[in-house]
Amino acid sequence: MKKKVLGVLLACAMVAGMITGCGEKGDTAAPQADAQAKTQDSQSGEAAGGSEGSGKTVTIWTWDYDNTLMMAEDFNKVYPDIQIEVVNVAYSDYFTKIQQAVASGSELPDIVAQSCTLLKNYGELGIFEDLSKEPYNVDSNIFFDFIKDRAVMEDGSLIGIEESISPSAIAYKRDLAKQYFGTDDPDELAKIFADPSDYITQGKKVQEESGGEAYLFHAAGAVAEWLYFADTTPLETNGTIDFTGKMTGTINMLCEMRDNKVVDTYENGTAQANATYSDDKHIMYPCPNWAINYYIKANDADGSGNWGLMMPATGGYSCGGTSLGITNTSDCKDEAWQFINWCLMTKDGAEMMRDRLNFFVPTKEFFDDPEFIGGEDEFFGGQDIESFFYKDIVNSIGTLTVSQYDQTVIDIRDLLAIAVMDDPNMTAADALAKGLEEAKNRITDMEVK
Amino acid sequence: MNKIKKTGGNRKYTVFWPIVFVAPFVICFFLFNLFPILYSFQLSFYDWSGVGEKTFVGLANYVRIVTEDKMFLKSLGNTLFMMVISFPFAIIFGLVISAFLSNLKHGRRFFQTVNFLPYITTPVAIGLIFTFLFDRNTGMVNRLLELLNVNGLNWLGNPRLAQVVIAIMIAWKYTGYYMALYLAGITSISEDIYEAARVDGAGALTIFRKITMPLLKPITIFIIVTSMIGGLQLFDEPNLMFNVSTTSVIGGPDRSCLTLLWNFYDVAFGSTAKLGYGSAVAVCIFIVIVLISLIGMKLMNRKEDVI
Repeated sequence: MKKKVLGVLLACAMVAGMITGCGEKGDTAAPQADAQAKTQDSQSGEAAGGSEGSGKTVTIWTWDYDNTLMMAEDFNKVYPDIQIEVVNVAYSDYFTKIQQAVASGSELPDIVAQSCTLLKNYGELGIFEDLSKEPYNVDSNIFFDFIKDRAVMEDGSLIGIEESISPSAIAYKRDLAKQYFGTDDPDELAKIFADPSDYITQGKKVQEESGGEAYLFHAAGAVAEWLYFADTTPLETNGTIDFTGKMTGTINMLCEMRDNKVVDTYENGTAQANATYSDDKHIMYPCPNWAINYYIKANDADGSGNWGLMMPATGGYSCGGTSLGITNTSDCKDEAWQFINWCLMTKDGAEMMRDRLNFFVPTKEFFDDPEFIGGEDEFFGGQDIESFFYKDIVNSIGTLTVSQYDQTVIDIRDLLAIAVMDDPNMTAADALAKGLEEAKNRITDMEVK
Repeated sequence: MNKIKKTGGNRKYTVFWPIVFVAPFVICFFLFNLFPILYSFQLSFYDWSGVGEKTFVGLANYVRIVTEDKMFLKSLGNTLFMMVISFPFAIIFGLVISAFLSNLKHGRRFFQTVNFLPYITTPVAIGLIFTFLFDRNTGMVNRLLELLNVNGLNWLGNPRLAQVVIAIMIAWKYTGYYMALYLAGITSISEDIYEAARVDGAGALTIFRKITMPLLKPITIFIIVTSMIGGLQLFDEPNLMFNVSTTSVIGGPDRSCLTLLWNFYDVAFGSTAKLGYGSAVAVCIFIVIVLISLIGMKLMNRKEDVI
């Protein structure tokens, strides 16, 4: 009898074991399937301003885990009663997880981080609150002109607020700049590199003087990224993807740089490529503001004082960026909005983003305050990089329109950068033809030219 | 009365308890295997991005795969090529190593473990190790080539070489596994047969060719069939190898390492998700794998006929 009872209990345990984990509200979220996902409630600090909270928990999925945690920590100093749960999701899996959650009807996070190259794709999911309407009433005209329409969809809805405007310039190593160009002054260097063709001339000079050892740039992928975002030719116009128009300038320049050994053969973003930040063979790096922490300081911790920032010959450009949007199925939209509003649209939040994350929010009026930006940066040899980024660079950035095929074309751009560097005989025309064929194969519901 | 009791008791043991114990698996199989398969098949006739309305398109997805989608055929070709240049080596090395190890008097367990380690190493680590080994500028392999006065190669940037690196990775990973299978097979061969051969004057090579290899044929066929099925499902190795940075491209250089499953994953869950079309791709992959499996099963049956 005991054996029978034991058998029944064991069978029940087996069945229960298999079906548990399917019902808990929190477990239905797609990131739970990610073994690497880690969650942590932000710690509540002291209430600085004091605000009536609801005791609800706002969930954010993000690949920028540490920065989002810092935002949550400071937010909780003002709103101690709103818990922020930050869920780490790998960047490469992020959009897929959101899609899967939507398709399967699983619970979505309250706040979604939208990568700038996928904004249209996020918009098409139809899962976001329109922040231009009640109760949010965000007027996107308060943002910088080059960025104000980025998260505005065709129906006029605003699906997210940018965390940072991501102005981008060219970073350089001062010692190598002095050695090869006779100066490390950013203005002088901008004059030397006033025209895109100057990169070819000066890159050849660097090769000759270094006996073939030194290069102006380390990776074709990094150069392609810069040239692509600096080119404001719209990718999508009237239902047509203008692949050739968008990519011709980038590919031509890339081939010319390859032929003259202006750019080395590293693959952008790999550990090997990142190690070049601290070597004495590579001089310049296309540099969005966020790359200072992610790439330069992370890979050249001992390089303080040896870095400078200069204006690219193409003018400033905006590269990368993330918007925060509220899902329309969220049961704590008010709290989610309080988080986004405080972090990105109040002066206190903007100062926190500036001081803790090195991010600059998109609201123009904060920058009118002369004390909001400015100051010497030791790491950059005393250069006032904030003023440089948020005055000089921002004022030279052209407006980029977004397309649902941005990410697809960017993948093809990187594919071509690898192909061009692998095959010295591949001409720009060959590369463009190859890219066009790829684009036509991958984009089937629009005309591609 | 006793008879009725006995029948009731038998039913309990022959019907009730088996159902209780099999039910969890069957329920899970229906929920997580059969239903998704059938649902995918249904989806393959629709145009659906995962949100919004599904549009019935009939066989249009299949027609596109066959007539327009160059990536499907390319991924099939890539997969077959990488299979052909990797698994035969892994099988041959596995067989040879197991033959040597079976005769080893000392340190057999040590070498068994060393050879088996790649199989149980986490794929992420393998991807990283190979990326570091074969990097064009700083990789160990190119450093060695330079020592031999040979120019370093663009292993991870050249389409053909990238496939070779994946093949090396697969061979390195699976050799130990096949070795373990062959060792188990060799252990089951009676020592009397070897003894008789030695008495007849057969040398080590002859014994290997005439006794060991033929008697390991069932294991070889099993390995070949599972290799073919596993090879067609290749995903982890190339994906981890060419997914090391945010600027990595889908399928590696010139999409040369885009396998059937990677292509399916990209089509179904990429930035421009097409779940309907992705389902049709999945069905086509399923058909390809079933065809290859049937060929393999035929081989196995032929082998049984021989025995």
